[in-house]
Amino acid sequence: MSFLDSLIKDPKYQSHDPRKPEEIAESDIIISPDTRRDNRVPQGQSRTKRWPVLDAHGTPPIDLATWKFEVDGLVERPLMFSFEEFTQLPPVKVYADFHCVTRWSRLDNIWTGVSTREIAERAGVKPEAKFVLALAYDYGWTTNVPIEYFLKEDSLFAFLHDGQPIPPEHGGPVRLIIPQLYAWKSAKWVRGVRFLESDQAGFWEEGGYHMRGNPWVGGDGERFRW
Amino acid sequence: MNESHAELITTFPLFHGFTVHGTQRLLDAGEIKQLTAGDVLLKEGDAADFAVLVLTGKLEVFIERDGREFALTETGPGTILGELALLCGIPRSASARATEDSTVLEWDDETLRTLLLRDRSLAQRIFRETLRTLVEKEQELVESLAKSQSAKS
Repeated sequence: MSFLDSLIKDPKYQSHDPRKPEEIAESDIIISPDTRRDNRVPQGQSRTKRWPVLDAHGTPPIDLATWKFEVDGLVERPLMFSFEEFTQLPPVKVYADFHCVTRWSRLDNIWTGVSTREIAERAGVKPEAKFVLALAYDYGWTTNVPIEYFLKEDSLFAFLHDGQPIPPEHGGPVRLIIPQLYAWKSAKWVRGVRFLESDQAGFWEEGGYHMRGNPWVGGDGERFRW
Repeated sequence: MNESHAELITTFPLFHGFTVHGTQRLLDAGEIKQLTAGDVLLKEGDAADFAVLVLTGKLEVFIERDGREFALTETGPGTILGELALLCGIPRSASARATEDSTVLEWDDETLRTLLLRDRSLAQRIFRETLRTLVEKEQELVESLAKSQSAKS
């Protein structure tokens, strides 16, 4: 396949300009606040019309029949869901941009899934929980997120992107989405979350990536701890 | 042993911000090699199929011309050696020999490429360091050329 063909045939290629939040017709959609900025591309980032694939270990094999999602740590009620149970939870839709630490931003995405707030309420998160460790199916991969970002209104566990199941290489069947932080915090192939009192470095964070990862802070975003 | 190496690597500027778990992954991806003073680790002209991170000791980098050795530089803990030839796919441009008992962490070609492809932060740091070294060498060359020119005139 030629490069041009790959662009044309890439189902995730954006041939249109990013819509403005007010152009989104659906009334029940949560608008990520960063999409309302005059300049939606953070400093040091460039817009991509494609959706590049990056990961630490490649796409893991996942069987929906045995897929499960677990919630543990500082919660009143540890939870476990099958894929069927998980996708029957009340859904939310979020309109958000997506900023990768490797300096590309993919604007205008609609995610459908389960609100992180829904999961936190069902589990009864204890007040001492200040951080969340997201656990993924790819060989013990993790990432850490401050609870206030995890619980933002636009954070969710997504299983649809622009109305279609999230392709495996992009983190399906279920991917955590935290639009207000760099995209590595949006754990692909998520298999659960653990609520913690103190911050615990995840996979990339152990390699010097930022513990918070806010793309809008400082001159160049919170990319690394060096 | 590996545990203390993991601690040690977190103190190198190139790996600032790494936790012990993070540097342990670098160790797990490679192999520890012990060198005795005098051991030649890299040989000029050889095919480049590995690179090393110097953990302890000292190594001198040198070239040989007409049977004479010319020392280029001396390196110690925290330095990566041999990555340039490996990444460029060219033979070793110089030799390296331990001048005291040393320990290095060796990554083979594929491992280093995978580490750099997967970890953009590490790639950025290693490229920056490698380029900085190259630029310094180039500046030295320019200065020595300028000196030899002015000596002639």
